[in-house]
Amino acid sequence: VRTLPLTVLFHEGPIARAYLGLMLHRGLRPKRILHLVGRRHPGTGKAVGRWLPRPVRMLYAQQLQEISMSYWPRQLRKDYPNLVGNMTRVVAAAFDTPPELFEEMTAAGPLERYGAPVQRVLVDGLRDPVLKGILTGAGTILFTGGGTVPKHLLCLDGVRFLHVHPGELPYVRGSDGVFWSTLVYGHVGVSSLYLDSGIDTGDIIATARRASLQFSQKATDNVDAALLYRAVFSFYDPILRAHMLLTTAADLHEDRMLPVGEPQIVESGTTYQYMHPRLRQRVLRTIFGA
Amino acid sequence: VSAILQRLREYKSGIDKTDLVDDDEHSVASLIGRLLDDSVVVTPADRLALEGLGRSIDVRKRVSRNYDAAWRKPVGGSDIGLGSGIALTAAFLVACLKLRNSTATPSPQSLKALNTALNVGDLFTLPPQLEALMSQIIGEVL
Repeated sequence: VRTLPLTVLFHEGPIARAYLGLMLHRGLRPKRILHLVGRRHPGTGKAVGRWLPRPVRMLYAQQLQEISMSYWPRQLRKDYPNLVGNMTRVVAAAFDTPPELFEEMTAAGPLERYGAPVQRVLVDGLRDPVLKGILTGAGTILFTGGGTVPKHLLCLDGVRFLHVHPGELPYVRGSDGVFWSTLVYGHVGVSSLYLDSGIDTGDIIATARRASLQFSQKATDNVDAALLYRAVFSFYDPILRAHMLLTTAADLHEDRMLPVGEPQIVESGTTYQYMHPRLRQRVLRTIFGA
Repeated sequence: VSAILQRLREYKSGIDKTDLVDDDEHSVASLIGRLLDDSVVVTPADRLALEGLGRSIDVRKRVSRNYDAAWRKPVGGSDIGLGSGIALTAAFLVACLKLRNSTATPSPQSLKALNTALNVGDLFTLPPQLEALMSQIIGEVL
């Protein structure tokens, strides 16, 4: 097993699990996993288990977060096995990933299985002051979601945040990358970059363009558009990102830093917001039209 | 397309009078007025306005009367009224048509304007005629 020079800033969900799962299957591990456990419920925003002793509170908050963040992937697996079966087969073939990875992404196994030391920290989002001390000098940190990285963390000494964005930079920045790429360009893109204070405007490490995957229309019978949208983010988008991460990091050894990025011309790209459901419907027809 | 543009321009007269108070170049009412005029191009300044205001609407799901110079932050607390909301939907649809590419590839700015038009349309009850024009435009640009 090779160790990548990365600290994974683990925010529970399919994206973070896909990164770690694919690393494991390729014989890789990060040097450290920093598991961010939310002090607040991800859905309600209310403080979790304030009356509990700290270790119990940590465990309880972790479980709540895990249940909440994996809710839709699990629900889709349970209620629409044909849809998920078709999607995972197509994605696995396209990205050369083991089929069992998809189950692992939603199974919520202990993070220790990924072979790296795990540190758990109870936080109130990425702005929690405790993170400054923990992350200083951490080297390259893989961002896996959980909000916007605040400026004071981006400026820390000896730290840079690596992010994988589901869009070809600089052309597709912002939200719903898979959807906007498909609508505007007819293909999907993916980029690895170092975060700066803008939206996907940091130095680009690598970009790739890929043909849009198409899933079976038969498998989508009786599945509404909102669920198909969630299915894309549960089983397609995370693997697109994880595959790019490993492409970026494949040749690295623990004694080498990740590559330097190329600055972007900020004015040359387009930043998209969440796609309206009526436009999304058009894209879903393309993705699920085979 | 020119017939659609003509029909969309008619919504300019529906801007609420209360939204015309304190009218300046960064008021939504004046932007609507400029976008629904007879010109065939969108000026660079109005492109910036569409970008900033579009982002603000898409994220906040509300439309204020006035914005800062970058069209990012609302200035003052009042939101626009129904007539202005309908006119603003028409204005973003006009922008969508004006910003189209001459090539086969859709224009990102045109699709972004359409996305914002749909979001504004969700905030106000649109007349059926405008709903029909919106569907026609979706068919036209996609």
